[in-house]
Amino acid sequence: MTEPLDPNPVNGELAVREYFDSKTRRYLKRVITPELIEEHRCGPHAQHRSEPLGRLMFYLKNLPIDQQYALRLMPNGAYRITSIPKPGEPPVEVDGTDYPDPSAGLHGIFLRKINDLMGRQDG
Amino acid sequence: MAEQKIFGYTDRLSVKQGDRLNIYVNCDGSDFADAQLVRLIHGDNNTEAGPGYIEREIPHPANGNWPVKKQFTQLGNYLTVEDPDQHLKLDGTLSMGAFIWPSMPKRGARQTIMGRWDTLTNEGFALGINPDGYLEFWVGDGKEVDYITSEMPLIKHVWYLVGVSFDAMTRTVTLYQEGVLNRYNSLIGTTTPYDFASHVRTRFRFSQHNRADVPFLIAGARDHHELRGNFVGDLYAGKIDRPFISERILTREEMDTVKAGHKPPADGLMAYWDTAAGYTDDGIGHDVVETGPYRLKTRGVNHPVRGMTGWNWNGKNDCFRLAPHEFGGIEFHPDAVTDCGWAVTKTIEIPSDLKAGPYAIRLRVGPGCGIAEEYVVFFVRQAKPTAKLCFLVPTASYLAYGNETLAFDAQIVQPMTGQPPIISDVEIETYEHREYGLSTYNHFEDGAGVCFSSWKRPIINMRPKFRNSWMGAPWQFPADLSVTAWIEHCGYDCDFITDDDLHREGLAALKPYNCVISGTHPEYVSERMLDAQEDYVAQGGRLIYTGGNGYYWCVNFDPEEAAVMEVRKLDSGMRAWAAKPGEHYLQTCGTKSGLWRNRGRAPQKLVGVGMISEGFETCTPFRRMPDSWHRTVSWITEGIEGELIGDEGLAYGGAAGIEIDRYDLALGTPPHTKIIASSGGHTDNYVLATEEILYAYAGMVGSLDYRIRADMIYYTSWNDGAVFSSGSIAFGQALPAKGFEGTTSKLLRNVVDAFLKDGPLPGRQWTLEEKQWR
Repeated sequence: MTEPLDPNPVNGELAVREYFDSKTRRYLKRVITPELIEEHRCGPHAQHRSEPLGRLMFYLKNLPIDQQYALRLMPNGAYRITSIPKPGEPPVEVDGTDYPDPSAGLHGIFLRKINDLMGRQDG
Repeated sequence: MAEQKIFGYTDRLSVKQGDRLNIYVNCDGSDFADAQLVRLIHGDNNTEAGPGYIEREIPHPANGNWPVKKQFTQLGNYLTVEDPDQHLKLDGTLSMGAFIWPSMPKRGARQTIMGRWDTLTNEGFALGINPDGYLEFWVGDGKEVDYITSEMPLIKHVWYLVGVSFDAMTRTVTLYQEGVLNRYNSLIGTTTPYDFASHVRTRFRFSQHNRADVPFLIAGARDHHELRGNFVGDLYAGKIDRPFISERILTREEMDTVKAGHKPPADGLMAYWDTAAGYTDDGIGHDVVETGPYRLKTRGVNHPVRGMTGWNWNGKNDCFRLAPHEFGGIEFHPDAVTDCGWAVTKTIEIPSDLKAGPYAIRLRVGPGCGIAEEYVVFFVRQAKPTAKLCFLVPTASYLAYGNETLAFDAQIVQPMTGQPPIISDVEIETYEHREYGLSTYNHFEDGAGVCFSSWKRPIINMRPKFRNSWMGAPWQFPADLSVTAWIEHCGYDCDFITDDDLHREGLAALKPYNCVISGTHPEYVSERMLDAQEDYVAQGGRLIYTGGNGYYWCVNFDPEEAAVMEVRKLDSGMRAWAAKPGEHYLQTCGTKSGLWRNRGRAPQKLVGVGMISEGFETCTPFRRMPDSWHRTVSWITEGIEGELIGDEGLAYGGAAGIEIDRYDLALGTPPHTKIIASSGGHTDNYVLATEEILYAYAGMVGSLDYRIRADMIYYTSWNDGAVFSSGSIAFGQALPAKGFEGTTSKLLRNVVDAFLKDGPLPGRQWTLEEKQWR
């Protein structure tokens, strides 16, 4: 007789990913510098030539969707950072900062994601 | 005051001069809307690189104040059963059974598999799944409800035979639940030690009381709302195969014979839906064959997905045409909609002298912007074609992307596009309320890919001014308005036909024109559309493909409902979802879906180039290639100084990018094709298309792989036919830059001017003595 199985099992892969991501974050925390942030500010769309920024961008782009952000176009033409909406729920504005154009807003999201990253406890 | 918002759609996307068009509007917060017919000139409100948004108001008797109202949409798939003599109004003993494959058993809401149940009054009987994911049968007498519930939860994506027998004399009720998974038919295999079976017996306090007006439904139950009236709720998610109902008790042994693959006993049988019957080589309709004594007419609502693998699928056959009896699964989704079914708000007549082109009824309430402004788009076609140029409106692709919400749902989008999305109020509104259905880039709530899309619903991204949120630029229809604006700017007399026109009429729809020009991303193509364009070119027509990643997916329009397009995504290709094994064939025509490339018709065979990469966040110019100086084709670049073409554009400042196509002799590019120009050196966000990859290895990205480039090509065909392809989505959006006088515009004008002339093409005089080969 086997034990009854949970019809809604927890995905064991989550723990494996967290192990991988924490290793990545430990590396990224060491390479985030004012120069790297400036490299992104100068060209959020551009080819990222430096390896540290490239690796950081890969990590940030591949975050789970509930850790991502969006830019919301406001009626006054400015852009604000919000959470990604969930089905049946509107997006949540993360702060009241107005960004004048998409590039500035994308850099704002970049800074916010770095802040999130630095706040993670990775040993 | 309620928030003011307005949405609408038409009964057709293509309408001829002099024809009538029905318009359907749903409005909150206002009883009237200001309506104005507008010709859509340019759709991109980018004023830094282009002309900005341009519309032209057209005088029309329908302009003015329209009475509008709140209209409701029935979401979800279910089967209606016509039972005028009420054979299924069983007031006493009954049994029911069905094979099921639930996709969201623990949905947190009740799901009805089958029954005759009134949710408002709690009357009737039904077999279903309770909010916690357990099989349940219940009866109601209008005052109370009695339930019997399985002891074992249903496991998602596993086939079961479930059933119930209710003895009205003793009020004894017996629930039957047995797993029927085999090595192929379910998500998990036979080694997972779940306990699937449950057999429960109890005695109810009372029997059902049936109202006369309640319908028997499969996959839903009657509900009622004070404003809305009757509708269907308690919708089921998952597959159902061969349900039945009997007016007598079925024993455990008799249910076991059904589980073994036999039909339910004929004695007492009231209805048996042979869900695998009626299939043909040309597809499956929406009627489900009921083979019981009364042959009850049964029909799917909102396109339940047919031809899906059934409970007895054993993996040998991969198509419903080969072994229909193994493909009896009908898949139901509570959030599917292919027709909002609203009352007509207004019927307008298209003036017989209205110039062909893209139009909309602009509707405004209250502030008249954001969600208080709607553009109900349609295309006017010449009643009798007189133009030599025709814009082929890629409506199949508009449908495919209609109401896509990738920015909100798809984790993959930010890695693909390289940037966070830029979202707008209208997207937020429709995503929050989810009334208007999904795109073929979405998954249903239960995780299945969406394979049908329809224009009989508001499509928020088929509007002017709409910017694609995950790319930050116009996409599909509003991007195509950059091509039509260029046509308008150049003063060409141009007719407009849509993909659905072409699918219906075939080659005859193209015959009147010397030159046919496509949109920026005509990705979805039916076989009839492809045949017509191939024959058009071979018979002397000139085709201009101004896009990228075109002629990619095999699709079909539903022969019973022209507004609905079907696609199945599978095997390879840059795709938002993957159809399950055995479910790769289009139910509307019986042919395999997926990529045309995988059916022997790579895009290269018709347009010389085919999908190679996508990267979205940056664009580059083209650079002239040696072929462009060949005197058979040098006329194409006449008047263009230097080697760069398209160093301008509304999509990231260049004509080459977003999604790009490549010349490839191995995939059928005609061997005499000339490469006029090519891009290359794209960023590493441009990655190789998956269908190119046999073995994956590092470096399949823009700055490292020579194959990742847009090729602009030209080739000649029989009878002075020819094809010009830009190989890039961004090409069309480069046309309005620099006041429509950039290099992209000059080059395309050379091509169109040549293609419109009767007789031989420029450069033709050199082909004999120099040959066409390099």
